[in-house]
Amino acid sequence: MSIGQIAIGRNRGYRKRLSKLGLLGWLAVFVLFIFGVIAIFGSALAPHDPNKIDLAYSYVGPIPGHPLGFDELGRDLFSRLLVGARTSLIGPIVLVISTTLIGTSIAILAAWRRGWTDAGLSAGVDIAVAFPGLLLAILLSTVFGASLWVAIAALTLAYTPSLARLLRSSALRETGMDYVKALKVLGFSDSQIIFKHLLPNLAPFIIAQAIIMFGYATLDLGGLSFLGIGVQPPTADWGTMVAAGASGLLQGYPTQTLAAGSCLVLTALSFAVIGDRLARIWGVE
Amino acid sequence: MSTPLIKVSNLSKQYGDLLAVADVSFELPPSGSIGIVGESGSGKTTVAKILVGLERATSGKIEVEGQDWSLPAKNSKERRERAKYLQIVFQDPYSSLDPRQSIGTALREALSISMKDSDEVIVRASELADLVGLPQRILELRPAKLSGGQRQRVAIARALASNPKALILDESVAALDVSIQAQILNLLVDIREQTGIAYILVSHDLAVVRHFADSLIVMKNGNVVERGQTEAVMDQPNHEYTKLLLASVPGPGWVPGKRSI
Repeated sequence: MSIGQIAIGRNRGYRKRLSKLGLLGWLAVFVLFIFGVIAIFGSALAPHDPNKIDLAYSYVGPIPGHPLGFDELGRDLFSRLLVGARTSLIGPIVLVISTTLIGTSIAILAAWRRGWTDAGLSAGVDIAVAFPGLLLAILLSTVFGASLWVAIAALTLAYTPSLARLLRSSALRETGMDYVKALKVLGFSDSQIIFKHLLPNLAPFIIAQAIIMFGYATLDLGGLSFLGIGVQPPTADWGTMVAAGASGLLQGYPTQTLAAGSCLVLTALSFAVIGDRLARIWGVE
Repeated sequence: MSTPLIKVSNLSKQYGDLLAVADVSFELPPSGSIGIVGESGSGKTTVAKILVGLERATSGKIEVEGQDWSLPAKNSKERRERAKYLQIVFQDPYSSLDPRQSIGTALREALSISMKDSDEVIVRASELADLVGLPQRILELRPAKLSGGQRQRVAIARALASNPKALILDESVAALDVSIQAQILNLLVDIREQTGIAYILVSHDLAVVRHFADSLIVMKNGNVVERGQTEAVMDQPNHEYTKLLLASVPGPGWVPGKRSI
């Protein structure tokens, strides 16, 4: 069978299995799609300037043209929500992707090479796990200045070791399977076995970990923004909006926290549902 | 004796302080069969792994049709080249197949290494299923739907995909129940008649080895303690260990000993 035909066979199989995503799964895809569109076109869609301060409108409720009302500084909440989607989604997504890529690479390298490579990487991971992520973030932001990217880099460094350690043990179990040895003896190259067999078999586990991480990533990045290390004001961001709305919450104006919080929860939930469905499609039933 | 297909000379493997394989030598003639017998920990599986390049020998020499195989394949080209000579079937039928792949995909993938024409690959995959006595509909299924015996047949079919000159059976029937064992052993005999393939049978089970190994070596703690033609060794064992192994096989007239509680 030529490579092309193998690929076609694959696609057909995937399409058939993707229909197993179910109503909830497709709903989650839809939600993320909408958020994705908002994240890309948010600034164009926003009806008002998200950073225009007008203290006369502080905590004013919904009025025509302003469906969600205003925040504590009299900025249009709806516009801030739309514009905030980009930072709010990009932060955790970049964090989760970079952590997953680096963590998986370390885990597979250690499990595949074993011996000294494994011993060296595992020792490095053990040392890194012991280092607190928050401290690292504060340290990095002192050195490089506070920004979302520094926060992401710090949390990537903080998340990667524990993910690598988790994945390493499943990768070790998988590489110890006889089918991996049989494929080597059949003449397949390391990369063919890793990409066509090892990774797909580890995928459900990796995705499950990534989803759990997404929740933490949203919270931790929000927390860092709250501390002034992550997203810098006046940039709109759901995490910072939740934090900023906290004082309003006590005074009886919960709209900001609720609106931004629901967006965060909906995003995390959608990822969770899709991840769960994908895990089932990939055969962890 | 003609030129051997596989010639192993003074093979040794050291793990730290443990000498797992000590100075093992044997020859396998084309279409011949040799049994490597011993209890667990005797080093027989390590010999098998070194032969297929999954372990690196500490010292010694392996020649396959005159080519030097003493070290594992250096690159994937060499790996593919060696695949045409020697394949292996493992003990555990439950871990020897990728759970994500249907049987047909697994066989076609194995065939794609040496065959480029896709129609040919599909035809050959169903021929392989026939050869190992599996119904065609099984090609659609994933390993989870198969019994241990069926999986072991798939593992054999996959190993035969590269059309090897020799097949290592590393305790390949040990995990199966006795009636299935007999079926698989008969299948292996049939395959040898059809293809002229040579076998290296790694086993702790002398009854299995007697079934079709022409000659055998007996290993204990990494050393070869006895070697010879299967019949001769079975009928007239010289080494105490071989006698012990033989005595452990239940035969006609064997009475279970009373257990003291």
